[in-house]
Amino acid sequence: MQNHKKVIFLSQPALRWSFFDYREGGANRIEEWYLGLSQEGKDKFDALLKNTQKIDNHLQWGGFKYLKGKPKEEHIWQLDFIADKRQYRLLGVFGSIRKQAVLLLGCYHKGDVYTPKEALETACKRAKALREKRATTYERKIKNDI
Amino acid sequence: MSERSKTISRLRSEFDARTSYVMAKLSILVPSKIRALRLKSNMPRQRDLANEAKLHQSRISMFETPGAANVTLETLAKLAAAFKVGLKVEFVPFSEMLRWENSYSQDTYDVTRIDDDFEFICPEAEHPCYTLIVTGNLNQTTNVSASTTLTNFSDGRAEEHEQDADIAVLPPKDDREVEVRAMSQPQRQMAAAGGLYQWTKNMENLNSR
Repeated sequence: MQNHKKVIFLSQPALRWSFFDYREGGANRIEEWYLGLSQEGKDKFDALLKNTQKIDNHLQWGGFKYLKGKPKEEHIWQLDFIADKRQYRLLGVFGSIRKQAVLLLGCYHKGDVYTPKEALETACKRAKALREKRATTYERKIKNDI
Repeated sequence: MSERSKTISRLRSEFDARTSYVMAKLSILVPSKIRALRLKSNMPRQRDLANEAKLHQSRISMFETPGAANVTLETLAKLAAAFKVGLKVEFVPFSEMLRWENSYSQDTYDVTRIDDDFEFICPEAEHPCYTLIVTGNLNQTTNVSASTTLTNFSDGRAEEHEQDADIAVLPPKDDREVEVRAMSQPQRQMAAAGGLYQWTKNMENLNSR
């Protein structure tokens, strides 16, 4: 029997991502969109955030990409998921604090068309409103008990 | 009635709710596992995995998209073959499914490839056995990622996990010792504050377990 001790490494638990909903004039735009999803859409959205919050490097999030064109100026990214045979898109920006992501808008995409069709423009306006502190955010609770 | 109670009530009574719940977990976690294995493999580009699995790159991209649900068992078997790992599909209680989801992390997920799977290739030989001793007053769950682990609790309970799972070692209520034995090199350990962690490597004949 061969025996020797080996200490692997010690680390603190990785900080998880927090997701925040975009709010303006007291209205939570993400929750409004969420409530309009089918049960399948809601379940997948919840499972997506629950998994994504644990992935340290956002470039390794499934379905993640930075947008090009005008949204790029606002540093807007997109997170894809499929539900109800639709290609859903979550548009967001990173917060000023590490590991905070703000969801600006939910929409879906087919061909080159977003529904709602002004989704990108709205996301840009919302990113700007956040930057200028004309809008606020609300932390989305991620449930681990269901 | 809390939101959780409403969900549980719906899951107990509605077939469609149960289908949607199970599908949501699977369709997020399976693509994430494919992505994790690809990123940790020697074919980190989707194109390379597609070649190895004899599939089109666009399909790999689709399989990795969260929510993608149209992956057949045959396709999963091809991906497993490309990654040189096995595949297990099981029916489990809802509680186990939730535990699986909560303990999963794309960052730490990995599976021993057949070339390194000594237990499969040569079960008679002596192989390294890694033991993690956790002592101290832990204040949160510790995740250990290993291909096969045996967890011995000081109260006499023993749990064996034969998959690639991240093992959640719950904090002992007192200063009891928790021992996790891994049959392959543990990939990563998320140590919680307040505890002492030490891996011990020794050799063990698998048949003696």
